[in-house]
Amino acid sequence: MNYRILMSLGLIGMIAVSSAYAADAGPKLDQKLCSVCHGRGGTTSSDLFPQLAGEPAPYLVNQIKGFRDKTRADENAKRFMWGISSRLTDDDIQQLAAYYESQSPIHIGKISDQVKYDAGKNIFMKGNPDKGVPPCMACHGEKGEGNAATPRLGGQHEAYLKRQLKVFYGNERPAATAMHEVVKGLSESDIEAIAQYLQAQ
Amino acid sequence: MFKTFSKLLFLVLVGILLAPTISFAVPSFARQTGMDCAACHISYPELTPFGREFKLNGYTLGERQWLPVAAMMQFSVTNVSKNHDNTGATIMPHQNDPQFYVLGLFASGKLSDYLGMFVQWTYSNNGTQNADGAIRGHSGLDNTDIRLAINHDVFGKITVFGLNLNNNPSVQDVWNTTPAWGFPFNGPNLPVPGPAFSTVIEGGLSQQVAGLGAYFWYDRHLYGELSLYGNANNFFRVLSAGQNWHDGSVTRIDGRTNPYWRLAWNEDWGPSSLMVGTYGMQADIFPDPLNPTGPTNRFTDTALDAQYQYLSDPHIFTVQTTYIHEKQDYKASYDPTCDPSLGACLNAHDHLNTFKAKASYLYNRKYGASVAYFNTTGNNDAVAFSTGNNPVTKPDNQGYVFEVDYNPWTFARIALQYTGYTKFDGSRDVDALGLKPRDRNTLFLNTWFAF
Repeated sequence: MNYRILMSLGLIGMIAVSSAYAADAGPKLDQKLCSVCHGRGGTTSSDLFPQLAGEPAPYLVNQIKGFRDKTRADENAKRFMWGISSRLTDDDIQQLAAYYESQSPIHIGKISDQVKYDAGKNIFMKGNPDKGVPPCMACHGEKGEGNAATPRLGGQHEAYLKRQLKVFYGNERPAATAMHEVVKGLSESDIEAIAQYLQAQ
Repeated sequence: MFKTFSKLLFLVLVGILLAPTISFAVPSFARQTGMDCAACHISYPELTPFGREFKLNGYTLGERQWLPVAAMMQFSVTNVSKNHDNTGATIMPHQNDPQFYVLGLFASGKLSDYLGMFVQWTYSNNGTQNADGAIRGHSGLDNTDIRLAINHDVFGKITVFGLNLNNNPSVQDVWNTTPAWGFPFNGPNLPVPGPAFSTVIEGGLSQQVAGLGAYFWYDRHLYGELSLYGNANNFFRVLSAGQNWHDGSVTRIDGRTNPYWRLAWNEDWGPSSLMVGTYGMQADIFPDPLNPTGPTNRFTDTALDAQYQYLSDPHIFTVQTTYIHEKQDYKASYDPTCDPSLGACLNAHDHLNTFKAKASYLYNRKYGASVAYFNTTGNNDAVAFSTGNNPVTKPDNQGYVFEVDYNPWTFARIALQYTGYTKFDGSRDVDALGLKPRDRNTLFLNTWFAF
């Protein structure tokens, strides 16, 4: 009998404490939700998930809204991000984006293939005019640091970069109109080279 | 043989026809969160770091569903290496016979922002065996886990505090090393030969007890829990729905404060996730389940466990291991006046040691292979560890499991599992039934769907 009373009191206590608790955006959301996969402050070292630290806020806002309205539909977006983003408010998204922009990305990538790296650097810096590929740095910045709605690429995980560049061959990220044109001139080995270069930045 | 396979093929086709209505591991969780099963499961039921967060936070992420229900179905074929003993008796009916195996219904999901549940009701088509050997179906409440969780900062680190009500010690755990969710994740429910002796925590109390516990999960590193168990009778009766309390099949434990504890350290870095922990339980068990009064025997299980997961694309690799030491104190049943020259006598104290390890590889979340090893040893006891079929009265068992899986979709799996024994109920030799340990080897082909 005592056991039942104790249990009831415990439950009531927990509910009372829990109602006093309210979620906070930005760092709170990162800590509670996003960091499980993206790492604290968006600095994951798992190549399953992209680093978010240092990404320009306007780019992040566009992507998260794209997940929320299901217009960004690559496989992992569907698997993970559609659900997670569905309950985020516009204000949550703004605060999250501002928080990640203010974080410093980690740089853990190392050159594992010098030939690929040089080829990637060449495309990144100079493009491939014969195939209509503009220099990536024109939009993404000299070190791939990104700008406004254009994402940071420097230091991003190689596997993630490769996966996303290949996504642009299809139409699962319709908002990235420029990239759909660019990848038409990129072979799979070009993509491997660019990813090798960028991950080591 | 051909007939067997054509029957199985038919069952698989029925499954595929049902596929368009299938959505996703506990599909009601997928519907609630909007996420794919792959977010929480490596391969059902093994959890990813995200799956552990989801469970520890009380299954509350996402939108509350009006009707948080889901279902699971399995079809299987089972083969026992030698299906007759030396008396000519059949060991397992339905040898090589495709069977509708299990239907599981889940009521699982978020109830409020802080309260959620995992409730499984299972109809097992070959659930029980009559005294005459006939098999019949059986349904009852399966694993159940209801929890209330809140987040609160402790020393500036996010910490989950929770309360939990469940009906199987370790079903509340989030690593796949503890017994309730450990490997093999699935096995035949036909009466295949199985070791007679195991520790209490390895399912000895499942669906017969109610446990209420409190836990914390500090900074995604440190997990601690204390739960207290009693029989799931009276107020908690619903947690043992489907159990027969009058035929002696329910283990009766004394009081409501049999403790279960758990302490684990978890570290996630890059694609890796590592856990090292300890868990255990102490249960005071009545010698006669039909007369739960008077003194009890005390079973104390103390365990160590570890898990490593490497999660990448397309390669996933996981390892789990646990070691359980059980101390059995027969303070109620031991008779100091028993004379061994007149018959078998029970020891005052016994012990069991169980070691289990399993490694799995999964490619592209589609093709999987697992290998497992198990070994149980213990002391000699002419009463407690006697099956009557073996002159060696030790609880020893040793063997391995090989499994290959094909997961065409995240809601479906076809698995071929082979369980081999090198030591069975105390011995490596032929027993009184004329069976060697390897005669018990079992091949199990299973198809699994959830929707």
